[in-house]
Amino acid sequence: MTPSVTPEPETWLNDYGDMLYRYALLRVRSEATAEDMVQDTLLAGLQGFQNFTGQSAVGTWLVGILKHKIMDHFRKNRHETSTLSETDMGDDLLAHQFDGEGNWQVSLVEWATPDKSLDNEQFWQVFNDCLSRLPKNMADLFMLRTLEDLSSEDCCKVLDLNSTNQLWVTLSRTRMKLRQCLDTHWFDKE
Amino acid sequence: MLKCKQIIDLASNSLDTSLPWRIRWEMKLHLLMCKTCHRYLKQLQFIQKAAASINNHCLTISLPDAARKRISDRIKGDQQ
Repeated sequence: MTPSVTPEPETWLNDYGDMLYRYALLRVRSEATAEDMVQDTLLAGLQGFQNFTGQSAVGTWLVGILKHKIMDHFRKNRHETSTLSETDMGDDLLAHQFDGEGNWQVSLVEWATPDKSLDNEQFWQVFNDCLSRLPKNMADLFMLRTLEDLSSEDCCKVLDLNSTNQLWVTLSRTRMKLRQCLDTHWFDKE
Repeated sequence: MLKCKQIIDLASNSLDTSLPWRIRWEMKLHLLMCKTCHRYLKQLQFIQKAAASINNHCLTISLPDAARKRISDRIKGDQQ
């Protein structure tokens, strides 16, 4: 079934511009890149409108196009990813947290009612700040893996990692640093 | 016996993949006895849940007016 309506990218911009921009920005973490992606998605939607079957909503269809653009972006920019240093990987934090025997030498404070934070706008400010403090590779990897449910093989390809073992360790250190940041800048201050 | 330092990576891995039963078992035993590691795992699980729901929460992010204008101009140019 082909839709009987003609494409109306101006209306799309009004109806889906914010949603597409938010979707892109949370993944690519750059306002300029996110803007380009919204534009490219709308233009691609306009050109490919004859392929739109009408089986899904226009918004869903546009998000599908955007997803491809996001993955292309990471593939193309692969050469820009740099090797992570020991500091990037949080070796110093690890050394601070554990003694030579591998036992904790700091105590972790329990996070009080963390679920309540999810509804707090300031929490998300801190969450995004903490992501921004991470080396870009690590933040990209974490968000792609979590939001796009990217397979381990694809994660390695997109971020140019040598082995899945390197992937697991990088994810582990990313979460460790993120936990530390949230602990210091949010949960400790509540 | 697993060391606490080893739990850091195992806790993270457990969010990504299904660990071998033997490791799972050793980890479970460790977490029963170690409050700090248990807390660490809980906090990672929360971070994971939070990150996965970011789309539904950061609703105040919107396309800036200047960007909207640029995109609109570009689309109009393309249509002509």
